[in-house]
Amino acid sequence: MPLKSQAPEAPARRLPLQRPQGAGEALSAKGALGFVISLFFISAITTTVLAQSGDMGYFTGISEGRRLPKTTEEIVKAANGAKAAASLFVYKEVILLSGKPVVFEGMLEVTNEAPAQTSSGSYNKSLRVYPTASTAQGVSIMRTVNFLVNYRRENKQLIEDYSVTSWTETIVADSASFTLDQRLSSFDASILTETNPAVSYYRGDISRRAVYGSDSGPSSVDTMDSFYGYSSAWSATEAHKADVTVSAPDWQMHALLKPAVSVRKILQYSKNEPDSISFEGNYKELFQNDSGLNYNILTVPRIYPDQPLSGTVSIPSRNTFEQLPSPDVSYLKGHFALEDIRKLFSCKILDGIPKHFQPNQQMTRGQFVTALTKSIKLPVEPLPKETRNQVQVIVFPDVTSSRKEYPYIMAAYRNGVAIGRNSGNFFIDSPLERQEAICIMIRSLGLEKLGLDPTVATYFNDNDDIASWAKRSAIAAARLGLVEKDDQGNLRPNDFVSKAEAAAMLSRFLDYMRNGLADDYSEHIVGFS
Amino acid sequence: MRKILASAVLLVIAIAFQPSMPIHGATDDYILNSAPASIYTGRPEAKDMISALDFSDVPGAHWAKDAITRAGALNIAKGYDKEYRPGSPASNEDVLAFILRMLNMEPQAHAAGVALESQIQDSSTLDLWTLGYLSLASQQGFITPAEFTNALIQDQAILDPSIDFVRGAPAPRERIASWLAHAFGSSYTPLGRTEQVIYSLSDWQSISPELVPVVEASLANGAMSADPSGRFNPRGSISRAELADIAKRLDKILLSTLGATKKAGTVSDFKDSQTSGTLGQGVTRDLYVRVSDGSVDVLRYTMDRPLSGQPSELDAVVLREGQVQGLGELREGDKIEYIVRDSDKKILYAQVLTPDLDMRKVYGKLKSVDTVKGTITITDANDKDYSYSMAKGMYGVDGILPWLRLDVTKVGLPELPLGRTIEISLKNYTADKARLIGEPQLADYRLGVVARNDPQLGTMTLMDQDAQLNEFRYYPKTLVVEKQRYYDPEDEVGFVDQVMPFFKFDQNDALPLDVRPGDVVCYTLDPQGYIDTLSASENYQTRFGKVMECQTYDGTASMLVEYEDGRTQAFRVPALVFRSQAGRPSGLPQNGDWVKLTVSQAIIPGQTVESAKEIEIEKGGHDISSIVTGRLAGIDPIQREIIVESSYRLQKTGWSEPRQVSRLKLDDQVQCFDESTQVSLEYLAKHKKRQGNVYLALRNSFSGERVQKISFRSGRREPLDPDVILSSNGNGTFSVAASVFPLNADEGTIVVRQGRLTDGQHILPADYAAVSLAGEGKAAVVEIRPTPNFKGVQIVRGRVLQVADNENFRVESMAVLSNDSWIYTPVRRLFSIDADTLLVDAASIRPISEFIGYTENTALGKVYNIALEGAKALRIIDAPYARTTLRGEIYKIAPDSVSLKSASYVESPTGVWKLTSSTNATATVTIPKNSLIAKNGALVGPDQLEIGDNVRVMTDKLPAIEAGLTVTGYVLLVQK
Repeated sequence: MPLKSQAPEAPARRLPLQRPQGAGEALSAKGALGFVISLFFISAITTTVLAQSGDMGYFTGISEGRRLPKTTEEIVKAANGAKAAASLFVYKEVILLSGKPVVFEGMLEVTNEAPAQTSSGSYNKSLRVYPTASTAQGVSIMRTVNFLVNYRRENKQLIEDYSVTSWTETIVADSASFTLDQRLSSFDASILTETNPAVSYYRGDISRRAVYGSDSGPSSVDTMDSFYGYSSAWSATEAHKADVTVSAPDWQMHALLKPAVSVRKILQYSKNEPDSISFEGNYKELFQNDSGLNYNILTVPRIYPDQPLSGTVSIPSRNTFEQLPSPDVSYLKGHFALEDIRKLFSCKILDGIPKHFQPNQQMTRGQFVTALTKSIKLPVEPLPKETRNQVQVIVFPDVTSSRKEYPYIMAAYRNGVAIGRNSGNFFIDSPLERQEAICIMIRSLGLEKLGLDPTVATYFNDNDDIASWAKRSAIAAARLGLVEKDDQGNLRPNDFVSKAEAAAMLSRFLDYMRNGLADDYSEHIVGFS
Repeated sequence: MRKILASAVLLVIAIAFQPSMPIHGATDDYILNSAPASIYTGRPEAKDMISALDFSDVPGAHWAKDAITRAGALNIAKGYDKEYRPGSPASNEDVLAFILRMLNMEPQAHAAGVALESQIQDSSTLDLWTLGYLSLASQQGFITPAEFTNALIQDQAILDPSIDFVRGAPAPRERIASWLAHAFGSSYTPLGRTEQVIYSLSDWQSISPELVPVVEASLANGAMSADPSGRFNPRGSISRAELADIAKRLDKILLSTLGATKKAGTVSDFKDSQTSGTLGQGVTRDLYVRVSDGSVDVLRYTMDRPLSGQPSELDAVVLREGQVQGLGELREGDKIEYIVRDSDKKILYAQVLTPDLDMRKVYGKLKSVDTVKGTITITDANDKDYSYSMAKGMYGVDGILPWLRLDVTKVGLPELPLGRTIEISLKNYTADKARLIGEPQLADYRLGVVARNDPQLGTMTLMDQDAQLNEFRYYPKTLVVEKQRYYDPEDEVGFVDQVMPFFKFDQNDALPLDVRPGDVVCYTLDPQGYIDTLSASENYQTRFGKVMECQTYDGTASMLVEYEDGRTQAFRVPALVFRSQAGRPSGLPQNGDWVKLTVSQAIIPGQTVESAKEIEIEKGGHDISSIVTGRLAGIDPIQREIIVESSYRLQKTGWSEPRQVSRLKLDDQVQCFDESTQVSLEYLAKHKKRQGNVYLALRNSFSGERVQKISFRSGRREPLDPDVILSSNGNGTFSVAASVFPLNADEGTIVVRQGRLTDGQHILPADYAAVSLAGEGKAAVVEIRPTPNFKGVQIVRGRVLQVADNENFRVESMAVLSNDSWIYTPVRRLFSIDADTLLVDAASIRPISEFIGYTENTALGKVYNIALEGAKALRIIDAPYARTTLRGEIYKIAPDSVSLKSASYVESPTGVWKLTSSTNATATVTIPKNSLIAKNGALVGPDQLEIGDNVRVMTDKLPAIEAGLTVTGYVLLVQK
């Protein structure tokens, strides 16, 4: 089995992105080569901390989710720089201790450090839940939990292991008060995250026993919570499935709770009303947060036999929005690909003068990889301003720093998105085959495993034309809906990709990252046991 | 001692001569039988030549490697110690010396040099040889005496290159052409005038006019050529590599001058022999070459080791794979081109020819990688190291970490698998790909994909990695099969049960018939080629979709599923496929159900085989929670909401819960209809605002209610009372009692059955539905509800006779509630109790363990209301005898009571139903803890009562009859 390199390459796409605190921060321990190499790594990456696990509180409650950053916000913050502070969310939880589901609404405060880019270490995390004015009468949760998180990295994967350093909790429901007995309670959680260029995926498990003392005697809540989540530049979702057993002195209850939070960025087009306005309609980017806690009482406690067996609690959340620039795509009027190209220009995935993007021409490898790198928002080092004393890393002889695609292709190369062809050249100005485009997209999502294992043959009629390294990605892409059989059932893997086709594929790819992924984690989990 | 040493030497020679694959005459059966035409021997000076010609600056892949080696072997080209300096320009003295050696005039040059040296006093910078060449050149007319004088000058710096002859300056091309012509005379100029050639040059006019003919001749015979842009560059220089190349280009002329012949053939065999005698030992290798004309030549290598004196070796310079080697390296099968001297039958030079692009793979244990020099070194089985230079993309340095690309992964140098076998792909002797092979293979497990399996016949067709189909046989009774189960992918036992006998339970043990097309298998073959062990696993995928149809036919169900992207797929669902819903096994899915399918997929060339392994029906996710109507007021594109004026929700009683303005969140994939045509949301927002009615179906998404379907109707809203569907044509046309004409449900109609959004084709006769029309017989909404019945739960009242704790109890007499009266039967029935049975009294719910027949809390002799399901008691309730009935329709629900309108009671003497009041016929029913509520055949809690329910309330006594009278309801039966 091929061995993998241990050294971290560039600040990988695992969130949160860390702002380099100074020269050489992103390196591993070999810092002695100092100045030259550190100059190479200085960057203007933003510190935006995107959605992470823990935003829902780890206690089977829901919060509205962290907002994805607006583009303008990111650009401004990059100039000013800010370190992530504590985050405050509106929070809801379903209390089962009293025998009937009681909804608590309050606030969740999460204080988080983030794992550094080193191969192991630890950091602190704390959660605090408290009631607010909108909490109903007779219902309250006061909870403070402090964690020490130990983490280690194995190649692309990060393992975080939570241990509780302190945990206090008081719950009031139906006017009965329950106080946590920390000696008898335990909390164990561990999360595995894998970082791919476009998306980071994680799964975690929490095994928890909370024992409370109350006037009527001790009650305990045993929870087995497994959760999945992902985060990308365009959406993030986390979905839990928690199996809860509540044991009270006279009764027991068994329930299934499914809290899920999904945040996404979607595009919305609007025309302009007045005629005398210099730009056509433009896209807005909407930031939508959906959260829902679905509960099913499987075994009803005897004292409340006739209660509703299921229900949903959600936190209504207002969408925010941001205007996107309006590119001049009038030269495309009437063309099939007009909207796709407009979208890509609005999101700044395609840059430059729109008129130079002629849809019928072929798309070059350099242009495609640049557009893809922008669409997955890989951290990119800008071109060094001074050339004196700078070590310019040239990996591909035809990709020099005089090309404006250089930083994007270098970022794609460092993150394993684009490898170049065997002879060492990147062939930056050569055309791109469909099968190569498919492979690059699937590789950046990390979803090759959606293809068969092994993929010896595909179901396209021109299966023999597909290169052996592209077969698995071809099936994966067909499953995600990125490609489809044409009328003759062919994939046409060796055809060159035209600009219009590339725009359509990237549009579909983005759409998958905005919506398709989110649905797989929310809709496909909630209704099923 | 000498003998031992000699034999040791022989041994070494013998070992060194060991061919890697000792196959004799394999390519040429008759080679050893044919009499050789000529036997050529090696030259004693070859050994030194071989090492001398191994120039460090002419790598194997250099374009002029052959030309330089050949010219060197023919004694024409000379280098500087270990370097040839192929890139340096050829100076005048270089070219002159070269040409003179081509003319075989080296001895004369030496003589001239000796003669001259004695004449020149000072130890000049000129060496013997250079002097000789220049002198000879002058004598032979290559350079003028004046030029010779210039050449002799010590301090060359005083010379003016434009006028004087500077011996160390690069020789101009046109001059070289003239020297070549002078050297070879008439044979230099090809027959036939070739004037036109000169005009093909773009710079022909810059050639010195007197030299035009020689340039022309050089171009015509190929000795020199123009550059790709057509320039001859007459005053430019040539590199030393190009100089050597000229010798190659002038092959024909040159070889005849040297008295040599060039031949081509294939090495077909070799014979080794050793001689040993009192005078010493010797080794001979005879290489049999099948010449291209059919004859056989022998190339003979000899090594003599006399007892006294130096060992001598007769060898030849051989260029093989870019390496300068000796005759010993020639292998059988090598196609060679060799030059032999006719006079003494000596081999001057041999070159192994290779096809244009030499691609081959070499294997060896990885020894080291040098990213500075760009070389990779491997060790072969004989512990010999081979170094290859690597192509650019194969290695690199990332920051400070050097890496090598193995397979497609970049492996840092510290992590290289040193010592493990790798395969290097070479292209023209340069490595461009490396693959890790690993350790030598001990076991032969193969991988394949099952295309067909026939356990009856014992044959299986497997597809290998290259999609080739091969058929194998097996013995069905003895084949060891392990198959991964879809519900449990872990192999808990592990590989141990293949390595040694294992007697415990292994959940993966399976039978040959469990192996299905599409399975990925790992198998071994026995010596006869029969499969003897097989391990299989399937490729499972999860798919989500909506069931369009599910019909059972002949025991197998077939299901049509529509996926989220609109594609449909049909599945056969045999009885073995496990179906579940909300964690419990369930029946087949129905139209409108959303399902999660575990599908195993196999792609074999020509067909895709998919079968559903498990079906889980969704519960709750896509349920339609409400239906709303109103007038479209607008859409909020940012909040993705629809704004509806005068909105109503569909309840039991029809459209109720009015609101002036409602804002409802839209689903991402909301479907919009204008009457029966599907349109876009923007179309509705633009054209259908503030007119007609919109009907919205809201579904339960994970984050709350979302509008899934919007349907615009211009007709007047007309709700009908819920009633039974009398007939339906299966295509959306149906009729109900309330309407004379048949009604139509089209694409835009919201048809909901048991919470699932379905379509008009699934309205079946005998369904109980609430229909709302939108003018002209068009149904805007059809909500199919479960038929009301309360047959499931039986309510009796009995006096307890005996109790067997927690098991059962017997009543001595009981009264069964039927319609509104209790019918008494003196039967002593036995009812069973289980943990779910509830014991309820006026205060609370007691544990069932308190229902006992002793102590002061004894239940014996007491009368209870008992809710039964068959013979099992669901609830045992301590409540007073509720004899009086009240009827009414719920119009208000409060936490502990409901209010009824049209409340009526039975007037005792007459037995007639009368309203409680003529103006305000209402009643309030309090619902205590020990009440029984039955709805739709099941016991429910008070929160399942809905506004619009018609209930029959049984209470113990009626208070004074007046409007709003309050009773305690001990039994409530919901009717419609």
